[in-house]
Amino acid sequence: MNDFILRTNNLTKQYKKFKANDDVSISIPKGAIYGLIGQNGAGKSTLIRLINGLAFPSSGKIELFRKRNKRDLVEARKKMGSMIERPALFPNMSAYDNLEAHRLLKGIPGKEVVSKLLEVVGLENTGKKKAKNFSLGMKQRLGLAIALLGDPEILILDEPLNGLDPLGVVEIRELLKKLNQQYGITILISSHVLGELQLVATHYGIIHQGKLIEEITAEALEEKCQSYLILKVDNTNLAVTVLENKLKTTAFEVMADGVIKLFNYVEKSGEVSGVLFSEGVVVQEVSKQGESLEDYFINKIGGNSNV
Amino acid sequence: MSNLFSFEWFTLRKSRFTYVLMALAVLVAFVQFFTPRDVVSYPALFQEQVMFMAITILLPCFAGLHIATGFSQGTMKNSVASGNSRLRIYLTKLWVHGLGGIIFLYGIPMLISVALAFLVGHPIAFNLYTLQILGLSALFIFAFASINAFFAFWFADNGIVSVFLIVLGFTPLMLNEYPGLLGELVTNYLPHILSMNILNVANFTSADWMRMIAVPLVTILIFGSLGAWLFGRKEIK
Repeated sequence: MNDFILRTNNLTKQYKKFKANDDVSISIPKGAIYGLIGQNGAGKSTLIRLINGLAFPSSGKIELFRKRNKRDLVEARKKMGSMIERPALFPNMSAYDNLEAHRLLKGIPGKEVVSKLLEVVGLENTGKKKAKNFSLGMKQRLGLAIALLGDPEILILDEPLNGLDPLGVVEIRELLKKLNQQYGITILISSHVLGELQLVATHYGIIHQGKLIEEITAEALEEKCQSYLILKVDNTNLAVTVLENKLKTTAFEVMADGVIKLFNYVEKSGEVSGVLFSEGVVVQEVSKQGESLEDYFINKIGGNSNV
Repeated sequence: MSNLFSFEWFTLRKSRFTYVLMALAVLVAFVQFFTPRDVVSYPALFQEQVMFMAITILLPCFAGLHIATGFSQGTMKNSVASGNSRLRIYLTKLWVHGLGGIIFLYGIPMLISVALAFLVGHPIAFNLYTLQILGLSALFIFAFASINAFFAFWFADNGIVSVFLIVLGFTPLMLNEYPGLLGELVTNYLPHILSMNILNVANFTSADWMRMIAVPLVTILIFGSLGAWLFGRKEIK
């Protein structure tokens, strides 16, 4: 059985008649990088605010480190680091002082942790420069350093890639991988940058109009997003027989319009066409296709009209 | 709770507003000390104007800026998500405002006053009368801090909070002039007006003493509880 660090159970957040989160149940296993995907206003930030105790659920439960009641949840949040919407910094303080203030807030002993974390996020040379003069990327990194104070077991990051230049995106991505793989930190990350998310996430939750549409592992998603050959033929039944008997495969799907999706021989379209032709099937079209995470997400939320 | 105090103290030390307040405190000390008076004693030097400033300008600004800035900068989010209970966060802020008020309004001016007195050669009376005035003033400053903290947590916006609290500080001083029940209630039971009587401590009857202690205590209890209740249910944006 999976050891879940964070779970929500039918979590609903209602503002008058509007449901920002509607019966959301997510489960984040220990050691996962959980990518929360959704459009602006889908309810990602509301969910993250509920988990952090900044807002209160209208109904449903949050379970963090197996703690469910209000007082235990407050205590459990000591093992959690978070960056919500934008890094919350003291603008007139340096990076060092910002971290020091938050070290005191969390009651973490030893000042040396501050310098160490500045090195981890690459801000060790910012000296007395005030946070208000930082670039957005530097602020994001400082926010991440604050979230990392106290060696959290779970990191909750809301759009941590916002405002980062391409190099910054790569740096943060690598840092997140390192934190996950070397230190075993579980990460919940919401992002619009689906391509980037795909490079790190081990699990996904797709949220749309406040509802969790699907929760899926990276492996399962990869399977669903796998490449395939599209075959348009003059005789579908004969083509199916040829695929089964001559190419010895059943990894195909016949669509309603007679088009065949073939999930193997993807890189051997010439061989497939040749065999079909030799058995009397006219191949009208053959093309390689496959879904990216982006395509999958768009299809899940109901197509381009919803994007 | 010591980690929350350390955090508040650290952020106060790093805040520009703290140094503006300190400069004001020093200025008040100098102005008061060199204002010609018949009797040169510490309470007489400071009481009237210091309490007025405490009610109307300094403490409201202190509360408004320090607490509401936490909301606008987003650092309140970090406090709430840090694993500290909201009640502890609120009570720490309330304590820091009360103590900050006492340090800025009395501590710093008093030290300067004593230093000046030694330099200039004025005698300064530290007797029971002085201690009674200081004790009551501290009680009233905590009462004002609890009122200000309540509204600062309610509005959570520096500009609105500062203006509202300054207006709130002046309003009872005007209502005091109203005839009838309203004026009587304001005069006898509002800490803003009662605090102006502290200097008459030598002439207090038992009933006066009771009222001068009970009113700020009840104020602290009511506004402290209301503020803690409000913050416990407030959604942090």
